[in-house]
Amino acid sequence: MSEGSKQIQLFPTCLVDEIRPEAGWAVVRVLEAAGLEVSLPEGLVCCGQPAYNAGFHEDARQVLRHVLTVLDATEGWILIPSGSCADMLIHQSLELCRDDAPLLEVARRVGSRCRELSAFLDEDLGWRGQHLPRKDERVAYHPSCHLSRGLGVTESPGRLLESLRGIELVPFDEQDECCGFGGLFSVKQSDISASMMNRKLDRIEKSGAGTLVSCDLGCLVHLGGGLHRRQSGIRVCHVAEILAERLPQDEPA
Amino acid sequence: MSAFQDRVREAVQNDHLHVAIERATSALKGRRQVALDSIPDFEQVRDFGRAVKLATIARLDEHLVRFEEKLLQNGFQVHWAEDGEQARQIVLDIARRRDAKSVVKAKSMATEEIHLNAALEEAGLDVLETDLGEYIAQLAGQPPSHIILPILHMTREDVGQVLHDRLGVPLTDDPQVMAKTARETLRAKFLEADLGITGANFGVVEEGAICLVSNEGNIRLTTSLPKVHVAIMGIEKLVPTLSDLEKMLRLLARSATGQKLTAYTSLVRGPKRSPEDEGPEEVHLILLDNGRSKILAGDQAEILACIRCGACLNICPVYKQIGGHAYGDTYPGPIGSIVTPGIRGLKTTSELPQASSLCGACRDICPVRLDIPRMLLSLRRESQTEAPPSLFWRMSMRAFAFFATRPAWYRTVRPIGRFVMRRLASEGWLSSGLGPLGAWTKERDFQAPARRSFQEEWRARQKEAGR
Amino acid sequence: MSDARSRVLQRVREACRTARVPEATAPELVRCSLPEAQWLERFRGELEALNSRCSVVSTESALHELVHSEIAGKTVLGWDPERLPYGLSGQLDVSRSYLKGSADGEAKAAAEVGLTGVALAAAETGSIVLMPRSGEPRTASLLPLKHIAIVRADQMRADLAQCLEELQGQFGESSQVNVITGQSRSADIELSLILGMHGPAELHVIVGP
Repeated sequence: MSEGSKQIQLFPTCLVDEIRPEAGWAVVRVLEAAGLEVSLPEGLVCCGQPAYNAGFHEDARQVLRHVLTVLDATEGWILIPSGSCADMLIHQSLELCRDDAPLLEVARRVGSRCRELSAFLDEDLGWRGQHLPRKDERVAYHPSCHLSRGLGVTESPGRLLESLRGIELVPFDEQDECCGFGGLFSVKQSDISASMMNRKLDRIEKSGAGTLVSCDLGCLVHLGGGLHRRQSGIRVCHVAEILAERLPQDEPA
Repeated sequence: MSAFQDRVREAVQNDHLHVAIERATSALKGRRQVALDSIPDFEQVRDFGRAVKLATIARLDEHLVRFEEKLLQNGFQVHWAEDGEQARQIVLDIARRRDAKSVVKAKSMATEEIHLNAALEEAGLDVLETDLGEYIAQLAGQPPSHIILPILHMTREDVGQVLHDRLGVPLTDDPQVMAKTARETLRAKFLEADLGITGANFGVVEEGAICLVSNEGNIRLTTSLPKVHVAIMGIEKLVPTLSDLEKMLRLLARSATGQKLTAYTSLVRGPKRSPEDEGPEEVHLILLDNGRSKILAGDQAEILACIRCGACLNICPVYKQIGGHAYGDTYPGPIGSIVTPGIRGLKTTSELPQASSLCGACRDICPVRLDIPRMLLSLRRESQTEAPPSLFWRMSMRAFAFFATRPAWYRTVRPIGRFVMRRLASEGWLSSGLGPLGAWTKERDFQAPARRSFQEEWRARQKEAGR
Repeated sequence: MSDARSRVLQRVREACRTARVPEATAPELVRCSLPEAQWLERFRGELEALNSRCSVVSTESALHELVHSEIAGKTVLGWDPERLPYGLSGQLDVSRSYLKGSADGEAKAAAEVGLTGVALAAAETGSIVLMPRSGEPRTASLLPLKHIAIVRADQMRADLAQCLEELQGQFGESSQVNVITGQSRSADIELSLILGMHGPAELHVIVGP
């Protein structure tokens, strides 16, 4: 694909789509403000990860085949506002279709076009927000596992957040430890999952942060649910939202 | 509720366990980092170690034959055991032939795996664990909870209590005093033991030797004082040469305890040579299969490259919540969730591979870069036939695959689900429910779906804009 | 059990034929680059970091004196004196308080100090390599609470890899080879350091001229 291509295919992910459409609009606003043209391919539902992680690989492969077919018919970068779904489409898809050569070929082709949002903004666009209006906020950043360990994206989210005026990133203990979401793990092993979550939330609350940011809505739905149960005042938002809410209101989207 | 879930529930509510685990794992984390910083080429050594181990297991048959030949040249008595039963029988036969009464054991996961102690005790032998942690676990009547630090689940206060209760020594919380008690008690036992039993960290093919590492020196005593030494080793633990071994030792010590090298690295080369004054008269090596050849034939063959350093346990957030005992078998933690199904079969162990959030911390820290999440996923797939999931999950996944591949159907059906969820929600949140929602909402709320999905809104706006 | 042997090997052979073992290439590793001039300093530093002691002496008589002061009045379990370096054999009083490998087990276990030489020493990790054989008992570095090891300056090497490379093929008479890196220790109780768990609580390595 050409370097100068302004066309971006958005894979909104099912959680953004259903639970938090605002995060999807935030992605669109940020990308459009950066001069890119966002398209939404027709027929996207899910990348298949829930079934894959639960061991239902045949079902997962069907879903993956569908997604790959839809995406393969498009052009340009495929932008995914989730480390987990991006890791699925970039890495795990190869393992899932390792014994299906034609599908593997498509998975490689599509995977090479996939980019996770924060890495794309930081590495490809060099996105920085120091010119945007100041808004004071103490932010705890939760690095999701598939983003940091799966995709190796460890610095980009911090660079994006730190470029915003008024943001203070507060560290917390065992910051890079898993929050316990893990997809269906959260309901199949709910005792372990909740125990991990509570450990994580204790530390986030101790950090004094007012906002919890992550690049994965899965973790945020889980941690946010825990915070809501605790009646905590910590606000939860996707990285795209914290960037977008500083953009001028008249920006298109 | 399954026995596994019972153990999990008990463990996650056990604050005392969490204190013990936290104290140990946080100390280990710091040490490991210091040790890693001390070698500039650690990443390359990892690659090297991985390549050596994988290449060895890929041609394990040839290496085993060669290893046996070299062992025999060094005077080892070599035995082969297909399973735990055969291995136990071999040990019992040796003990009987030598008229052994007392046995000293140095920490060995392989002997735990085959429940050797119980068999020896049943045969009337006096069996004593000599590794400090194993000794205390034995006194407490518990299995080890960690492959390197057997009593990671105990605080110092717990240990003091065990020694007080079992040996009648004054109660103390000073590890130095506890260790002195153990040293003195065990030293006497070492001197009178007839049989020394160990595992093996590595088998060095070209040397016809086994390598054993220990910090305490109990392995050296076990392999030096009794007249007979029996080592039990999984067939996968081979490295071809002494030079390969040296790299593996560096990986093992740094990953296990944050040391550059373990205090004592012993290369056991068989029974004492004729002019030697010391050393056992007989050295036996039992090569144990017990499911390993089956693992090799399957999709998780990579796990056979594991060097049992325990680093994946220390980093694992699940292990930190539930400790080692909840896993219910010899090998806990991420590697245990792969090895245990391999050894025991998935029918009874299918929950272990499920007990992971697949966070990948284990893969990152593994000195030989084992792709543990991939293997867990592969086991979850195999569980579909070996230990089929409930009808509910099978139907749910079929439905998921059906709708996720038919966008039009999905668009038609999803407003129904959304409607139901929103009706049940209060101010946009659900705090109770049935099935998976019930499991979710036990300790957290669930945000109800949005009134209109992102994609619906997008299409609507496009229509409005006349695009 | 020969049946078990053939069955295990048969299964492994069949498994190897179809095994899906990931492929990986071993990188070329760089050799330890520690310059010889720094070996001694590194060796000592490593031992001290391990709570062990390392003395570097510049003359034979100073070494004799140091060894004397360490063993005076103590029961010693040691190498046959003629095997010790730096003419120590002429210096030692091999009376009833000096035990050799052939001594009775209980007596050896009661010895207070172990006195040994080494085969080689590795600077990078502060390790000493011992190849026990006739006249060089393996228990001398294990049973007593204190172990004194004499290293000849020319036995120092950069790292363990170099030591093993050099010694390989010479293990012949030794049924066990021991690499010792610091004294006996345990961290099994809350990771707090315990020295002298089963073996020596003190290790004193003396590097001679």
